[in-house]
Amino acid sequence: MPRNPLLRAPAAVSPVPPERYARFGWLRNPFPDVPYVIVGAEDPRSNGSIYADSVHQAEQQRFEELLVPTPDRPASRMAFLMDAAVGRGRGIGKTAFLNRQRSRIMSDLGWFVTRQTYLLFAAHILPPAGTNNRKFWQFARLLITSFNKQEVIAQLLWRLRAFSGLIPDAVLDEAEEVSSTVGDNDWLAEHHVPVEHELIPAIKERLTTAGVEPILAEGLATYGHSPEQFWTGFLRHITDYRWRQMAGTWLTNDLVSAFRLGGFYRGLVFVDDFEKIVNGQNTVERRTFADDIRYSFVEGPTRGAQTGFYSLLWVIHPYLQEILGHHWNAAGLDRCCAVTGDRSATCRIDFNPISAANAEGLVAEYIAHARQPNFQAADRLSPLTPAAVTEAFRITRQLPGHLLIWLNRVVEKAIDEQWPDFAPARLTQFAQAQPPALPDETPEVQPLAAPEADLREGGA
Amino acid sequence: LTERLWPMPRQRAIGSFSDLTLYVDALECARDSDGITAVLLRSALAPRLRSSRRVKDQALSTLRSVLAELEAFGWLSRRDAVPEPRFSLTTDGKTALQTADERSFLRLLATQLHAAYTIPGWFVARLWTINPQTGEVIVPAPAHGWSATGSARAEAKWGPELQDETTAARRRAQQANPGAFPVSDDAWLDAVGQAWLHVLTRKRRKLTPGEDAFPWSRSGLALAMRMAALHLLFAATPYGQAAPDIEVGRPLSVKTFKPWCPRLQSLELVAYTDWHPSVVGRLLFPTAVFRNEDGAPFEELPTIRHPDGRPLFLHQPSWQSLRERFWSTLATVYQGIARVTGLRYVSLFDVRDEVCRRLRISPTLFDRYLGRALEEPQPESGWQLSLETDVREDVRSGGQLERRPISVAGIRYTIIALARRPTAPGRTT
Repeated sequence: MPRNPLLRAPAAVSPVPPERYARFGWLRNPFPDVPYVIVGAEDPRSNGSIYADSVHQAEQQRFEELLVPTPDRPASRMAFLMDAAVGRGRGIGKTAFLNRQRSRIMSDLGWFVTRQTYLLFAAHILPPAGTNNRKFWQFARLLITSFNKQEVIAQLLWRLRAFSGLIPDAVLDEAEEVSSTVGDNDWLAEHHVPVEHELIPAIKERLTTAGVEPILAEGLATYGHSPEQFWTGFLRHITDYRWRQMAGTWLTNDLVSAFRLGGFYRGLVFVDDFEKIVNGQNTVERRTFADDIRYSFVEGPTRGAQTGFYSLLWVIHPYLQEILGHHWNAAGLDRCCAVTGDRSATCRIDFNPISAANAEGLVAEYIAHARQPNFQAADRLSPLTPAAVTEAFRITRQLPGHLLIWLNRVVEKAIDEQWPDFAPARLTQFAQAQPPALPDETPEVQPLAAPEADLREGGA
Repeated sequence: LTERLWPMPRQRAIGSFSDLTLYVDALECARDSDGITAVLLRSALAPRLRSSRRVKDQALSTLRSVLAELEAFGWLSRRDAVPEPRFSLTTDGKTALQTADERSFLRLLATQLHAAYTIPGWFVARLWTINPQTGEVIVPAPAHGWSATGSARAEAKWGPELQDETTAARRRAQQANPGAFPVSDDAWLDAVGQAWLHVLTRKRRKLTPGEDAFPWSRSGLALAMRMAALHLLFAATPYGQAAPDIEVGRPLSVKTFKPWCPRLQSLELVAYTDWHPSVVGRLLFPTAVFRNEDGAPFEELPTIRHPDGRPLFLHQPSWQSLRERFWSTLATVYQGIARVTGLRYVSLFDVRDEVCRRLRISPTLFDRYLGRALEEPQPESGWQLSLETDVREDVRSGGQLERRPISVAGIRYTIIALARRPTAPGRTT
């Protein structure tokens, strides 16, 4: 036992003993303990990797129609995703859906969805709350840093390296996991590829010839192959002053040239929680922002607008339609993608609440991921039953996010109290003690309670 | 039938101040110096707090009206008129200053104000006329955050958007308490429409460049609603009746309503709030009543009498009689607000307003009893009470600064939490 407290290391045991869930044949509580999708989280229950495609099949189809180009169908430059449920935006599964679409496209760069025609990338933008994204340059910076974090830029560099002609085919054949091979300078050096002296200058040269500004071209060529290095070696050193000048043109000119050089046909950008950007803006900023979107992506003299490179999917809150519509239309964006009025239906994905049958599928998917191998389960839901899922679904008012986290608490309770089964009546009883944290639906005006003192004659 | 009417007030002009301690300070100043003027009084006064706002200097016109009112009570007498009216303390004034405690001084002041203006007694009676069940009255206002859109402004007339909000304000008031705003939809819409035209064509003190946005703002429409409500509910003739009950054409205007509400609240006759969570607008309720029967929780104020002879009784239950109910009401109200806001520490102002409304006690009494509740060991119900003085964000600026502060033993508290005292863990044998 080392005496020095600096040498104490935390135990590497999982915090919950797996035997706790053995009764049901599970390795862990199958359901997430947080009510939202955390992109990139370690826990598979909450990072969106467990996903039942059947649940939002209709939305997925609509998404492909609108935004994914195929040989016989062009795609729009912009679309909206809006929840069709009334006033229950949270926990309906939008983020999980977008995260799924992103990983689906990024797994093969859109090769499958475009029917082996085009290369696409997808980025899922999650703006932080607050007022740091009010200006277009800040929005552009957010996009660029997200491209980096989500390995979009790294994918581009890996492709440029592979097609540079400086890595012998024999070496390329050895590279299976790209990020740790072509994307790793040490690995390449081990395989006798002259990274510093030939590969990087050659890529920089190609980027500059394609029209990328030299400083950015150098940054991309030197560090772009690794998100960490591009951040620490390049992006981190760019001052706000420089971003203000360059972010917009980098996004819509230089990067577009670079992406096209890498063979990308389109970039899909999903702007989640768009209200976080708009709510922080004042009227003038909203108008300017809409104008900037039009200039940068639709019809300005930018490479992005000329080639229609970016396809944007704005995830909007119902209320946003009202506050944004005015400025959107004033900037003329309604002709491209209407946010209000009848025409908005043509460029909108309506996000519907899931059905009871889909809820079963979703619950089954989570249970399947937690099953002990070799455990013989009676059916895909066991030990839960369809009646129990229906009851839980009713209690959580058809909101999948809330359904899952509430089931997490139900499972813990069932184990603590040794429930023999998950009968719907037990769930109802549990819901009274620990109701799900649903969005409030308080009436507009609550009547005043009668006063307790009556001052009138004969009153109490 | 004239003897059944409230008499014509001796005095009409009322100073636009609501801080009653100004009277005391003026009297003391007159006692200590050989005759005072408004200018002298101003230099003698220390900076003071009006609700939560610091007021460094009182306006001269305010101080002039303080002196004029004191003269009307017979507590000051005028000595010279030139160059500036100079007053000295009268014998009655000396007696008033020697009043034993704050409470008796307030009663004396209520008597004097009623004798001079008739409003105090009449106002209490009028609340009971409007709502005979509980005396609660709501003066509606537009929803928080409402303002007319650009197209309504462009129309520049009493258009559908303003009308809709007016109707909605009446509906909200009636949902909160059906008896508290017994005005028909048509009458209300007409009255607000007319008042709004007054707002639109009002004389503007300062001509600011650009369009006049005020009539389309929330405060503009709120002003129109207040004018209309005063016209309908607080005119000489009560709403829905044929004959007037006071010998004066217009007992209250928007200008005089403003200082009267806090004054009557300080006199413990009426309480009001503009920030009740269930009410948009001003909620008024009486903490006094005219009655024949003498009763335990009441304090008689025989100097204020209804024209029919009944004296005014102030609802002043003793701490002993109220203690248990005070605790339980405090707990119920706190729990209600905590549940809606989802917070442990909630606004003490909101709790105070609702506790006062339920128990029909004045905010002054609430302050006193909250102090008692803090000192005394909690009753068997096992609640523990915690008060804090953090200045809430919403009372740092804007209208909430005008809310009457709650001070217990000289400390101004702003937030409150109640919790069940943890019971001792049961011992296993």
